[in-house]
Amino acid sequence: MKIAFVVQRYGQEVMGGSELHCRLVAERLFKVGHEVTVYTTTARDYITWKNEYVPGESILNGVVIKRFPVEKERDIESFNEYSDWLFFNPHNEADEILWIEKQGPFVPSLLEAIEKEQDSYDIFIFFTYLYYPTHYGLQLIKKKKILVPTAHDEPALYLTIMKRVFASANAFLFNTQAEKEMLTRLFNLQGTYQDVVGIGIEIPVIKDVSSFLHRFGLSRPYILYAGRIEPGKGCQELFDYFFEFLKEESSLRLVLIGHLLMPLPNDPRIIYLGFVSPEDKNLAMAAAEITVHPSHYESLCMAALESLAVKTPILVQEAAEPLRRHCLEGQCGLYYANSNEFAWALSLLLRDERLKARLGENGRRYVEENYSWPVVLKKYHQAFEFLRQ
Amino acid sequence: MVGQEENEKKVKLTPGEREIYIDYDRIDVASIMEQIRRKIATQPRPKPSEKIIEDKEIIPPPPRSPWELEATYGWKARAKRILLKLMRPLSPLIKLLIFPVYYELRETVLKLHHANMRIDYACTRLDHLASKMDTELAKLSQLLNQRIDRVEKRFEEIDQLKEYTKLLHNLAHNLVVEMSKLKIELDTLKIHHRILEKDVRHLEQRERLLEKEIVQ
Repeated sequence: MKIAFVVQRYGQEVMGGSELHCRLVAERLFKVGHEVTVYTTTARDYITWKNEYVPGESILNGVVIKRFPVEKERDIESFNEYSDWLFFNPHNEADEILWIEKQGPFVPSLLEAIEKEQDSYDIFIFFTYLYYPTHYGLQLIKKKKILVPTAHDEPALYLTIMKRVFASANAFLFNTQAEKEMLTRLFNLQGTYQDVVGIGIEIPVIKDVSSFLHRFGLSRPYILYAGRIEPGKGCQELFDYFFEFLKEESSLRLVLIGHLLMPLPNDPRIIYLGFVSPEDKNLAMAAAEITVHPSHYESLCMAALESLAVKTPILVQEAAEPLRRHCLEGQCGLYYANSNEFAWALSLLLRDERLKARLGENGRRYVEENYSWPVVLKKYHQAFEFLRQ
Repeated sequence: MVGQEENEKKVKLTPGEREIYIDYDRIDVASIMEQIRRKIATQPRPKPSEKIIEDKEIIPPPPRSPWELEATYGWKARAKRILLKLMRPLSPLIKLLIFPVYYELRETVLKLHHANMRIDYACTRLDHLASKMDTELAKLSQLLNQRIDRVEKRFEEIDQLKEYTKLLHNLAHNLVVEMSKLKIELDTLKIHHRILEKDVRHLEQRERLLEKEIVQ
């Protein structure tokens, strides 16, 4: 089958959730024998959409990539200001269209290309409802098309123009049941193919964590946060809650992995490791007492699934419904809504080894049953089959 | 509690955590969270933060007795205590004769002093709140003024539109009048035309008759 993906960024260096999700799915579909092409931009940075990759065709792990230059860089401050006005004031459709153009990445040449070349493909898969290429691409393409919305409850979802996006796709592959329920509540998706798929997670073999601890100068016990370190991901709240908790458990450390986008508190008990290899990330997760996921807005959270894959329970922010569902459906972690609950749940997880072990085992089983690659690819093929019929 | 004793041997659970029921064979996260929330709800209120403590410390509590203000150590204090002890049987009499005036006066002064301090503190707080409110009000009034300006502009635009509509209405009215006049004129002209046609026809008949007569 000839499959075309449309996504705002793509590349080995692009670590964003939905972009990585797209790359992993594209590469897996190529491995099982499909011809896969990705239509994307030359941007690497999602804040500015600055053109960094070379436009034109290239191949990455067997997947053909067609890159188109972004015509307008994003001024994030003016965009945020405009978003604030738009989300909380009466406005018309023209304002929303202007918003999606400001949101970007503005690549009309990509849209022209997919419109012209659409007959060369059997199916189109669009990733993330929120950006310009998906917004207009979905409405342009007449072939069968799948949308992987990767949506969470955010103001942009309530814009009127989003109705057109969700009315244009023939199939929806959601990350979680919570996402599906939210979107079917907000939009009329009747008559479309729907399935909860998510992403496949490799189950790593963990042999020895002591060499990892030695290499990074770490000592146990510690809890781990992996992901972009920024207030938008709930990190400031996590620091506040953690310091509050330290009053009763002063030997505990908080280890951070990922892109640092905010100043860190000056405290030796907060340890930043920077970017680490996927193997080291798995080891860090395996050696951690638990992993924390403080973001209020998540549609899947790969880091949480990776943590569960190495049998480390998760402690998540309750406001992120998909994360809470992971805990409840997998019986694999606890959740909190305030510092008191954070302290209680963390304290229980740290002290009750038996509970921690059981949650870890449940987590591994949950990932194997729902988020292993054979399961995920089978669901993609079912969607393809449905659309072909 | 299933397996609780065995678990407690290995780990040190706090008394609160010990009360959380966990079925390790069938973990139920929702139930654990429910229990945690119930525990939090029954916990005593958290200690006041340092800021609140500082605020409270600004106002000293009223002394319970005037004697508290005086030194409670040193030889003077000791001598005083002994003398007071000696005088205790006579204290009602002393109180009656001397002490009440002094005691009442001192107590009143202290109470007044304390009240003054509280008033001072309240005034400071009030000033602070007032300045805060002033800032907020200034911001609000600025916003309101902006809104009012915008509304006034809209009103001006609406007035202009009203005038324009009036003019259009007058124009339409005049056009109707002119059209009516033209219609009447047209009708008159049509009648004239018809009369003239009749005259022409009559003249033609006469012409033909005259021609006949001339020919004969």
